Amino acid sequence: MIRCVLALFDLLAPLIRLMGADYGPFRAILETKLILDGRRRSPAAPPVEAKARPGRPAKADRKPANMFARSLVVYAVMGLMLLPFVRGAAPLVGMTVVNAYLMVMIAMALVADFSSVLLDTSDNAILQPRPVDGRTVLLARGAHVATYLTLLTLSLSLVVLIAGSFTIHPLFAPVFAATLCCSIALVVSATHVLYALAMRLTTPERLRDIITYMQIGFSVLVVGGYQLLPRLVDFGELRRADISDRSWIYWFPPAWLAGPIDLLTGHAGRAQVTLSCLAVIVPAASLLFVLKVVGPRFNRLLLAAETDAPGALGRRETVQREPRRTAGDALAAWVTRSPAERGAFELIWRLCGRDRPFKMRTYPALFFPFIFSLGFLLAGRGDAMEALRDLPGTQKHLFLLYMASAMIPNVLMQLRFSEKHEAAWVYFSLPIGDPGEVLFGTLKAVMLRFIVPGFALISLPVAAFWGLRSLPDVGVAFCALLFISAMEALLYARALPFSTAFGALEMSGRFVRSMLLMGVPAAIGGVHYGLSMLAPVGLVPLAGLLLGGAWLAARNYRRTSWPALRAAGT
Amino acid sequence: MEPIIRIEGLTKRYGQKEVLRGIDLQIMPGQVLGYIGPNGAGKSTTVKILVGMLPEFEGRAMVCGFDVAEKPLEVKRRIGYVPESAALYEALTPMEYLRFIGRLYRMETPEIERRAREMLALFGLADEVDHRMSTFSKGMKQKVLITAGMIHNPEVLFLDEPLSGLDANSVVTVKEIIRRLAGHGKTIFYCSHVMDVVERVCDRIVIISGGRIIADGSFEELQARSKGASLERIFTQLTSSGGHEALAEQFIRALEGAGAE
Repeated sequence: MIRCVLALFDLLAPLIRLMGADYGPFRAILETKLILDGRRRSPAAPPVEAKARPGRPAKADRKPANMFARSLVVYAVMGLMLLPFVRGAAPLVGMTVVNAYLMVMIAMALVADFSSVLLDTSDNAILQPRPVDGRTVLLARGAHVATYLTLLTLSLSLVVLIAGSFTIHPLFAPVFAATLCCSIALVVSATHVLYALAMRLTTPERLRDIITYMQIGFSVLVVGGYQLLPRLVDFGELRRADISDRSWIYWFPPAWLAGPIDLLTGHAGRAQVTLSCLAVIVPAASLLFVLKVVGPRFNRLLLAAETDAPGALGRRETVQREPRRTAGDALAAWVTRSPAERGAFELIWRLCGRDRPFKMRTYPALFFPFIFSLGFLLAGRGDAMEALRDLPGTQKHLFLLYMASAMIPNVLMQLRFSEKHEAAWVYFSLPIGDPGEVLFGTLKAVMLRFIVPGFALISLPVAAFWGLRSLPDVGVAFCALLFISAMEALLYARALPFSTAFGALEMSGRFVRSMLLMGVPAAIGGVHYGLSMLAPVGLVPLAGLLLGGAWLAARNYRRTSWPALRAAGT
Repeated sequence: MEPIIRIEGLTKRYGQKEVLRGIDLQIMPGQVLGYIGPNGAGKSTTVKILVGMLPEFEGRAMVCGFDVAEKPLEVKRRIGYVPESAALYEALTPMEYLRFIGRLYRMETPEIERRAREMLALFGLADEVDHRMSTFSKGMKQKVLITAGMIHNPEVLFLDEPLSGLDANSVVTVKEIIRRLAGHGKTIFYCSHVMDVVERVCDRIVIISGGRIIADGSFEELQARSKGASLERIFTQLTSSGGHEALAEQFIRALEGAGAE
């Protein structure tokens, strides 16, 4: 892929020289950036585990897996989701949805992937002492961004591009491609302006935090959209829908870009013409604005952040502003027994909230139970409101309550991985008798920070909808949650937190494991359901049994010795 | 003979803080200059200005006959720089990285690959040429950085703490390389905190403190001037108010919980 791109640029070499770049260095920078793209784990794409044989360092083989190329394939497949909107909806409505999806995806990918590039200062430390002029670097960066966006957009819209040509109009592809260019222009300028604003208003460190939360929101949005959209949208209505007389379309950019397509299909109303004009003028104007006004200032800001003294733009992260003792510390004193346990609790409580890669990997999964529950509740109903009204008569709250335990495995298993896994040497050098104390403190921190609040968030609406009679069920389900957490920790999370490199583990038996992880909560939930139907009194011994089991598992987990840890390690 | 580096009244401010307060220095071709000073004295800032990374400063800096402020590209083409912090693309292999760097110096690919392979092999990295650097130790990365700084055979070499993380054998090799480069008429600008290396490798030593030059001369000259046996002694005499013994004693008392009133 990289070779093809470079060959294309080789053809354009005279043009690039004309623009003032040195083609040799230009090509070298572009090539390196493309290679790096391929080796960065793209946060926007589902993580693909890099397989490394244990004991051997990751090697650049003759054909190393190109992560970027892989995520492009994933994006192309995700494009299938849009098919119903291309085939089954009125063009103006359908294309508005398609454009909205594409613009959000492009914006998120841009924010996600380029935050690491844009705010990365090591890049400059490497390039600045070399004999390359600023113009060449600037053009190479531009070419890199352009290549990236083109490939991304092409793969995202491939399905639409092909399907539209068959179902909407033979000339669909060129017109759509033109509107795509306008989308990109709009998204790029909007992102740029937002970045420039954020750079002015906050520190780069804070900006990275904001970006992380945006990415988390994005992952939730994608999964949520995938789960819920088909259940909420009635495609029969979409086919007949006409939005050309609404006024909001003039404020909604994706609708502008749908205008030209609708025009193509012969709906030459006043709305379509206006939208088409907006689709051309606004992106062009905003791009010009960014290039002439925002861009230069933005670059100066970035430069200032890099060349001036470290700390000039708040590189250092100040923690002093927080109160000395956080809620986590107070909780730690409350729930832990030994100093080692307490130390681990306080450390993990903080790290979970500050380690961005960890947040990226785990926070989205914390929301999935809610999304799946919602999808389940709405399943098979035409009318969402009607479905909600019928709920209190059912036993479906049990499903919701047990769905909460779907949060556990992801958090527990991700907890051992870290980019900075070397820092875990402290555990091995400190005089810790049984590492189980560290593990137990960690488990408590994770439970109190994520799982218990998550369960509370699910049980609140349950209590609201189903009323008092659901409270015993909530109680029993909570016992089950404790039991399942302790069991899963004991079986699968006997590893020190943030201590393992990615790809260091052979993930064998993963299927069996995930079946087990899904099966246990389902089984307990089934017993619970059966008892509540046949003999509600039986719930009391069930709760006792679960609590006893949880206590036993937790005790065992707490007593994990070094040999046991090593045995469970790989 | 013309000096190959000429600095006149070099001053640099970060906001209100004055990091360099008028440095004057002339370095002849073939010299190995040791540039030492306490933390925050302005060593790295001087180097960054001379290699063209900090375009904004006051005073004049000429390297290889070109003004750093006016013709940074001409300067950069003729010099090599090994930075203090290991800034490299860790996702690349050493060969990929060096190919990239070499191309920025407009070298031909076969020549880059030949030099890279030979130089890395001499550093004992022959088997690591095609492994990604993310798994490398600090010393291995440092070897790649040194190679990257010299691959285009520069006239002047700026080394900022180049031996950090290297094993004893590599340290000896690099020191010998520096001596031989000087013998071939190359100029070395060597920044370090490791006094005994500076003492042995450099034929001229400049000590800066608080943004000013406070001593300049060969080791023997400095020795004669300040009655110190080793460079370390001379250095502490010149740059600190003394009292190391008292400080150490307080440190120990802090450990014992007796308080350090």
